[in-house]
Amino acid sequence: MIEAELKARVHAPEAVMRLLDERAEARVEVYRDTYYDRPDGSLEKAGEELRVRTVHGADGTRTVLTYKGAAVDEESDSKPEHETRVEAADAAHAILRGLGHVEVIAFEKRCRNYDFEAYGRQLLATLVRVPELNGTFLEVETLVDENEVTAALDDIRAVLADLGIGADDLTRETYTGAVATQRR
Amino acid sequence: MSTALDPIELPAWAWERAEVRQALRARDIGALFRYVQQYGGASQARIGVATGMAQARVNEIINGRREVARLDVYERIADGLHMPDDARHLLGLAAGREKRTGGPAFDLAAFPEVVRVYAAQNSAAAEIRQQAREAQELDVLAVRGLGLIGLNDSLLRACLPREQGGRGLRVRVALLDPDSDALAHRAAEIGESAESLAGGVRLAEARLRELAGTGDVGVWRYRMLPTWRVIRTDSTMFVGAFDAGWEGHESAMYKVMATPHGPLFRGFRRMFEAVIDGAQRTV
Repeated sequence: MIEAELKARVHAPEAVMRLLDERAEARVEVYRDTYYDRPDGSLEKAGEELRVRTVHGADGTRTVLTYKGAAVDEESDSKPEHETRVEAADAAHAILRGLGHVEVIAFEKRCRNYDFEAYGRQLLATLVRVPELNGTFLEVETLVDENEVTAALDDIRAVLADLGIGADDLTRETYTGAVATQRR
Repeated sequence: MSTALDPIELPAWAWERAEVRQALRARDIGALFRYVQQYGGASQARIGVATGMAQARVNEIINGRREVARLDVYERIADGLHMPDDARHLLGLAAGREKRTGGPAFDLAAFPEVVRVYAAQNSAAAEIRQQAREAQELDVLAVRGLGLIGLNDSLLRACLPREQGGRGLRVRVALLDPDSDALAHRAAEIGESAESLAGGVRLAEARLRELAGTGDVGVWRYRMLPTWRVIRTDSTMFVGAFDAGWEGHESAMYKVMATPHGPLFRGFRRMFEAVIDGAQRTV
């Protein structure tokens, strides 16, 4: 499946949060993400991602292992995604390191997640603050087959417009890149 | 004769009119601007100045050649037209008094420091252990610490350096001074003899001393009345309280994660430093 996703900078976070709160109940979660690569950086060069994410939420703490392949849609950076839950976070980290991967960057995302349906699709909208970065971001995504990506992105654009977010606010900047720049 | 710089104030009844409310609901800014001209007598130039747009842009919007779709532009328009709160709501905006643009208060309200609540320590136990296993630093502020760290089957015992082969975990434990007035006070509060409570503290201290050779373990005796019960693993903290008739492990607990503006994590961390700063180190 492809994760069709658009990301935008949010200029009026209170108002966007209010509109989202009207659509669904927020799940407030803290993500602790660690990205891995091969020592030669070949995953990043190929546009792939390997990540261990521990999600701290109100109902529990869970860890997921995620691999994302190279983007299938250049404009949005939508990528094929494979994700599975892992029981022990420290074991997942140890396995990746043991297989020769190196930690590229680790950082925290604070998230308000909203699951809702719009335009006939099941969507996840996430209002995001990365403590090291300025500003608030909104990601809207849905999992689709590859031939559905363009249509899904159109619907996501419509959802963003409903939230008062236009094409000018969209960004392809990655958190990993922005955090790395900030730490330099 | 009004000038382009005069502020625009529509009469209150204008905002109540059905067609104005319909324009707001549909976010039809072109129609809204036409009503502002009609009911407020405002020129395109005045609307432009009030909403921070060029007159040409206002003209395009009024004539339907351009649409407004950005929330921050709606905000500017609402502010510039001194829109009452119910009109702002129709447009999908927050009320004027709640209007802010991010900042610490928004961050803490939207992304709270307290990420989880537990009914008591035993419901948090697995989570605390998991955090401690991955941590570089472990701070414990307790009364006698037997349940937490002092005995072989205590909550955090398996995470301590001896069992971990001394992997560089720094452990700091602050316990209530067995010879303090506060200990006698606390013993009375929980219906226990001071002798028994003091014995518990000394036992925990002795058990921690056994580990001192294998890792970075420090134990302090503090003399203030126990108030907060804190377990910190790096940037995550588990916080409960002591009170009369209420044992520490029975307290509900909050899981607090450090944020740039969060006062709780910072405050508890500073308090722990202050407590051991004024305490006697025994291990």
